[in-house]
Amino acid sequence: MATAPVGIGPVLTPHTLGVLADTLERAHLPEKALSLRTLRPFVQGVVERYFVPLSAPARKGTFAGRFSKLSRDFEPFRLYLNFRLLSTLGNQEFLGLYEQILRDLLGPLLKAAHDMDMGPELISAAVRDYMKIVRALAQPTPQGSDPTLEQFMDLVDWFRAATRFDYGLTAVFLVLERAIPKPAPTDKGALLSACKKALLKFGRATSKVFVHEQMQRALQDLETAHIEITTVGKGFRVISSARLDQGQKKPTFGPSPRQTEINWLTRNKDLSDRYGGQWIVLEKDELVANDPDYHKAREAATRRGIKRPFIIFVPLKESGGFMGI
Amino acid sequence: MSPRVDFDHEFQYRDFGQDSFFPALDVTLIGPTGEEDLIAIIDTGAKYCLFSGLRAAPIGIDLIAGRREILSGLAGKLTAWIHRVHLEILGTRFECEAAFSEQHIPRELLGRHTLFTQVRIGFREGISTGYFHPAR
Repeated sequence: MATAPVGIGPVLTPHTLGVLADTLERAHLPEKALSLRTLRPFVQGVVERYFVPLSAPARKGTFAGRFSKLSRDFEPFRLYLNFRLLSTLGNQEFLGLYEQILRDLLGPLLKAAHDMDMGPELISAAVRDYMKIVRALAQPTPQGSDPTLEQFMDLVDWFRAATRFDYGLTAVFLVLERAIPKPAPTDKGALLSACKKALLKFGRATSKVFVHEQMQRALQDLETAHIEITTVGKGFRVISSARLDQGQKKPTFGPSPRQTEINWLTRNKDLSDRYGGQWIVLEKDELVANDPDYHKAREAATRRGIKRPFIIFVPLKESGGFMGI
Repeated sequence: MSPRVDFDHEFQYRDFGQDSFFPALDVTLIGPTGEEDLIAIIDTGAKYCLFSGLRAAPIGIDLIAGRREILSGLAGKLTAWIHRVHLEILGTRFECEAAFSEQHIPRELLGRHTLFTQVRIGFREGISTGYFHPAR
C-alpha cells in the first residue's frame, strides 16, 4: 500500500536526522543531505515543545496522561516530517536507509540504556520488533480499490497507533541521547511501559490494515510481548522472559538471581579506578569486602554468614581491548 | 527455508568499563563442598572454562590434584589444573571439566570443552545481545 511509509516512525531526533544526512552525504547525495539538514531547527523545535515537557516534573496529572496528550499533539508535526522525508527520499530508498541507520545507532544507545538503567532488553526488543514490521510494510502489495469508510477508519487508527509508538520510541532515543532530561525514576518505567504498549497496539492496528503473509509472520512473535515491566519501590524492573517456540510453552526464567549485584556493577562505572587489582564481594546492593587478597575478601563474606559469595576480580584499567587470557 | 534456531534466554552484554561490552554470564561454580558466584565471559576461542585457581580450595577442590595442562593464550602460557565441577548458568546445572589457573588471570571464561556441547549460544554483536539455550 502506498500509504505504508507514512505510518513508519522515523524516530526523528536532531541526532538521527544528522546521521541520516551524513549517510546521504557519504552516498554522494549532497542535495538530499542538505534538504534534511534544513529540517533540523524544525525538529529541534518539536523536541522542545512536545518531548521536553514529558520529562518535566508533573504538577498535575499522570505520566500516562502526559504521554497521551503530547503524542496526540505530535501527530501533525510527524505527518509533516514524514512527508518531507518521503519527498526527499523515495519510499524504498528511505526504508533501506532507515533500517541501516537504526541498526548503526542502536549499539551506542544500548550502552547508554545500560548506564541509565533504562531497560536495554526492552529497547533492543522493541526496535527489533519494529524493524520486523517495517520490513513487512516495505513488501510490495497489490494496489486495492478505494477504501470503504470502515477501512479508512482502520487506516486512521493505524496511523494514530504508529504516531504513538513513534512518539514513545523517539522519547526513549532523546533520553538516551541526553537531548531531553532523564525522567524521574518512577517515570522511566512508565515511559518504557508506554512504549511497549504503543508497539503492541501498533502491531494490532497494522494487522487490520495490511493483511498479507509477510505481515502476519512478522506480527506472530513479537519479542516485546514477552518482556514485563514491574514496579519495584520507586523504580522498575524489566524481566525478559524466555523466547517461546510457537505453541510450545517452555519454563521461563526471570532475571539473574544476582541481578541486584549486576545492577550495582553497572551503576559503578569507576570500578577499575576504585578497586582495580582487588577482589570484591557483593551481596545485594552492598559491597561486603574488597581486598587484593582473594582469601581475605572471601573470609569477610564467610564471617557475614554468606555461604555462596558473589566474588569477582576487578582488573586494572586496560590500555587496549581485552583479547583473551 | 532458512534454518531457525531457538533460544530460551536472551541476555545483554555486560559492561566491563571503558566502553567494553562482553558477552558474559553470571555463573555459580559448584564444587564438592562449596559454591561461588562469578561473572565469566563467553569465549568461543577458549578450549576450557577457565577460573582462578584461588577459587578451588573454598569449594572443596584440591587444586594440584587435578590434571595438569599448560594453556596457551595471547599473553603467553599458563599452568592450569583440570577438575570436574558443576556450573549453574541461567537456572540450569551443567557438569563440566574446567581449568583452574595457577597464575593470576584478570578475567574468567566460559570455554568450549564439555560445556559448549551441552548448550546453544548465539550472538548479535551489533546490538550487544547474546542468546543461550540449555540444550544442544
